[in-house]
Amino acid sequence: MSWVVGIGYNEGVVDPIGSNTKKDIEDLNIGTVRSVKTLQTFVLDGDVAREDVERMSKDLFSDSVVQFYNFDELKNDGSHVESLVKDRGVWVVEVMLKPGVMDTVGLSSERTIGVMGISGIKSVGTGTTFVIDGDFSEQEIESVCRKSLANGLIQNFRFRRLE
Amino acid sequence: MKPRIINLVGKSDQELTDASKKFMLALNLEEMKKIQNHFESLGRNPTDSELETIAQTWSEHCVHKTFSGIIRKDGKEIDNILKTYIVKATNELNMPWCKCVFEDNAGIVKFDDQFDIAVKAETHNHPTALDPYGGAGTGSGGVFRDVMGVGAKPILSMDVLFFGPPDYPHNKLPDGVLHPKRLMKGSVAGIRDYGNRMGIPTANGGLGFDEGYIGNPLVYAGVVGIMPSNKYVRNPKPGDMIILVGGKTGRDGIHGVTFASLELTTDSEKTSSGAVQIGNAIEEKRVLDGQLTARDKHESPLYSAITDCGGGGLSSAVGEMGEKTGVRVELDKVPLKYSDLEPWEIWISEAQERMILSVPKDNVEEVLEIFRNENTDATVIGEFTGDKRLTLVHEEDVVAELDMEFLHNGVPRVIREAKFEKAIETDPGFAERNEYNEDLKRILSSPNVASKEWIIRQYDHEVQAKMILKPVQGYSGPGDACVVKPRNDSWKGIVVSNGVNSKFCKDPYNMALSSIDEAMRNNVCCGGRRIALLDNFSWGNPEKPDRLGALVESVKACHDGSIGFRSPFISGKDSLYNEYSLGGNDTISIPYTLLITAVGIIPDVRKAISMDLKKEGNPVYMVGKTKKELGGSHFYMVNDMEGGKVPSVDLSRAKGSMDSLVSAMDSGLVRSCHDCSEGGMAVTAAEMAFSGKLGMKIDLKKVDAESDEDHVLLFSESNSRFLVEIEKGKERGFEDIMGDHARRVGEVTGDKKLIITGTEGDEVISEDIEELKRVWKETFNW
Repeated sequence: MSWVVGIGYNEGVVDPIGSNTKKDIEDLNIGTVRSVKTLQTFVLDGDVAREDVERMSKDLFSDSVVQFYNFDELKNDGSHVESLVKDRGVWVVEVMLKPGVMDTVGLSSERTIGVMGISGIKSVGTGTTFVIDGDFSEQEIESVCRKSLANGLIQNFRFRRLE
Repeated sequence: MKPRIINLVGKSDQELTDASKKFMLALNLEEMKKIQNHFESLGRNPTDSELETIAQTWSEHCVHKTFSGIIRKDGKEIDNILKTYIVKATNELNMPWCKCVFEDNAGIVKFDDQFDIAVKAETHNHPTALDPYGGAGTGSGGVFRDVMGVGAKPILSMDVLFFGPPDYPHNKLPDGVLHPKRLMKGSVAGIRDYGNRMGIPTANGGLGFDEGYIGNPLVYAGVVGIMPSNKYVRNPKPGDMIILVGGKTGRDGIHGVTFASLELTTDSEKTSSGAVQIGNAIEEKRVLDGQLTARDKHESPLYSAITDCGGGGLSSAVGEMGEKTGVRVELDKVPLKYSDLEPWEIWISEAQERMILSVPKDNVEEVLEIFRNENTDATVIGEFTGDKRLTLVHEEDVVAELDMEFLHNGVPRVIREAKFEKAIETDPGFAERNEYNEDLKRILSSPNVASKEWIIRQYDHEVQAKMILKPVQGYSGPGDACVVKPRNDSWKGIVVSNGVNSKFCKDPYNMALSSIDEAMRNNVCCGGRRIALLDNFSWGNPEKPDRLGALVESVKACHDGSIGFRSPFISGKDSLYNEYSLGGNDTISIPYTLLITAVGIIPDVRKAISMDLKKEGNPVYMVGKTKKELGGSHFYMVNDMEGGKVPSVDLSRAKGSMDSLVSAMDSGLVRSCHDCSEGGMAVTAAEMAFSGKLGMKIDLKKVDAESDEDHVLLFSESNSRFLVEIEKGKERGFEDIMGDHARRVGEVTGDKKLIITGTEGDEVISEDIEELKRVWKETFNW
């Protein structure tokens, strides 16, 4: 089973990528943005047991002092973000590197997972999930993705509204 | 894998042109015909690997066709502008401290009796236009490998960036172009992460904005390295093994080199994904550590030659290293990221973080062991032969067999037409104002002049603990140069600075001289001397005569400036075809941009001078003469004025004044020094004052000038000028050394105001230094 892990910052901890992204979206003059939070996202491709995903999330991917983690099975329609993101009434944008583009964080994660004695992982892909609180139409959020959040040359993106 | 044969023999001109396009070779018809003839004489057609190898080796990026070609200008033929002008000056000067110039991956000059300095700067423009983070980051990674490729350890990284205006309207952006602000943020992050992660301080740089860079940003990455003088080797012998170390090979950057020789089109964003390279700084750090061990473990290096895989990948690295001997490479030995790569893709991939070592057979095991200990791949992929041929094998099939002589010397020389007409100077005329506070503030807050602290603070400039004068000096002041002290057991330092003046590009000769003068000035400000120079041309399409004419003018200026300052060029690079097509025949060239990098030494870093004012009551002198040279100036820019004379350089006086200034510094008379450049003397005075939290009074009547107009005295960007703070009581000593090069124009005050009185005796500038600093700092607070 393949999994997706999302790592976010605890309430009260500064999320610098989130606040910079908010400024970037404001610069575009598209829609209205109230806040942006980010989750660092790990896609674990292969056949991995739930306990192992828990262990990696807790001991490898996150810093338990300032960060939290959520994970779920990878769903092709992207509905796993409903478990990764607890907020509602927000736009959620997933940005991942395209297959074949070098993913350095993914590569070093694979090495370390091997060291942890966890097997069954074929590859680790990394990306960012943006949780955007703001007023945007579907067209507008797509435009924000293209103009600011993702570079179509090396990254894929998809978005959905969580109600 | 059996090689694919490309049928060229017997094909028509049109079919040859189509083949070049289809395989993205960027070869012109004459070159294709040369290849066709070559294979016709061999009685066969080329394989895909052979054709790709030739295209890489003959690309503008690798052989610099324009610089080494024949240029027809004004009815005369110039045979190789690089050798005719730039290298000629270096040869004439014949400085004994130049160790390796225009030969290897980097220029090498003497540091002291035991160590040498290796320097390189280059561009990474096209990849950055597509993916700023990856493009700029791998620009740094690539230039670091250039000094690693002569066996040096990188100790300093520098970056000079040019973008469109940061407030450019989104709706005016052409399709396929990323917004300047996004490009800049991405580039800065890429440079930051690569340097910081590798532990190389990024301590010098620059940033410029102009609408001409909208479709084609420029990213210059530079590096300074240090190496023991006796560890430079470049002598691969037949029988030596070829070892590939570092990252795995994927489809990264395929056709990056030939891509750099094409103009960007609106489709580039989608079709050029192969040109994108993603960096892995940690991998390069492992390679560097292994390489230094291989260099230093024994008295002489374990390798007989070393070079980096840059543009053109293995094809260029191995091909050039084996030019004199011949090589046989087994492509299936190359470690791959994924298995479906074609042999030619393995051969030309520009996957990052890879180095090539030539290693005598007896040392191979030891070298492999060293890299294993660093947790990085090291693989024997072939050997140097002695048959002067390039042989590529994949799973026992020969996929390419080329004669080295044809490969390296077969490229037809280009003949290009150049013409240059000097633009007619028109003086826009300007009615003097009563005061210039607002002009000064508008210049201080304009993006080219404004504080770059937001960027600089993202870069680690302390790592390695060798930095003496840092990019931010005094209270947030903009340093002219940085000073690094490479050895623990010596006070001797290296002074590094840059100069670039693309705003003067309508007069390319004086633009180039001004860039040289600025790089020299910045170096001298901090106490640098015995200065070596690097050139880096970013230009438009050289196949267009006006672009090439301007290039020739600026190359001539490099010769004249080099001789005038007695500073040899030791390395250089060019990036041409920086044009952006909007479809049809309509192409936009970037402003002609020449980056000059200056590398000097200082015998005792404790005598290095920073730019912030030090003490109330100290006299302030101005070095150099102010002329009415406001063409391309920031004063005209903020007032929407055009025309005017671009600053020139009085080479007969500039060198003497700078030498005198350095000896005044050595005598301990100078407390602070800052050059007059963008925005002129008024900006220099403001920056010195607020960086020292002290005031300054200047009397324009006392300035040595060819004009009595206040706006000229305040804002002209005449070259070879400095403001210098002298220790009170040492005036006589300073005046004796400087002679007629310097005049006393004012003093440091304690009231935290910048007051400049005009030629009529009234205050033309009177402003609180904190207010000046506020407007200067608020532009970049992203």
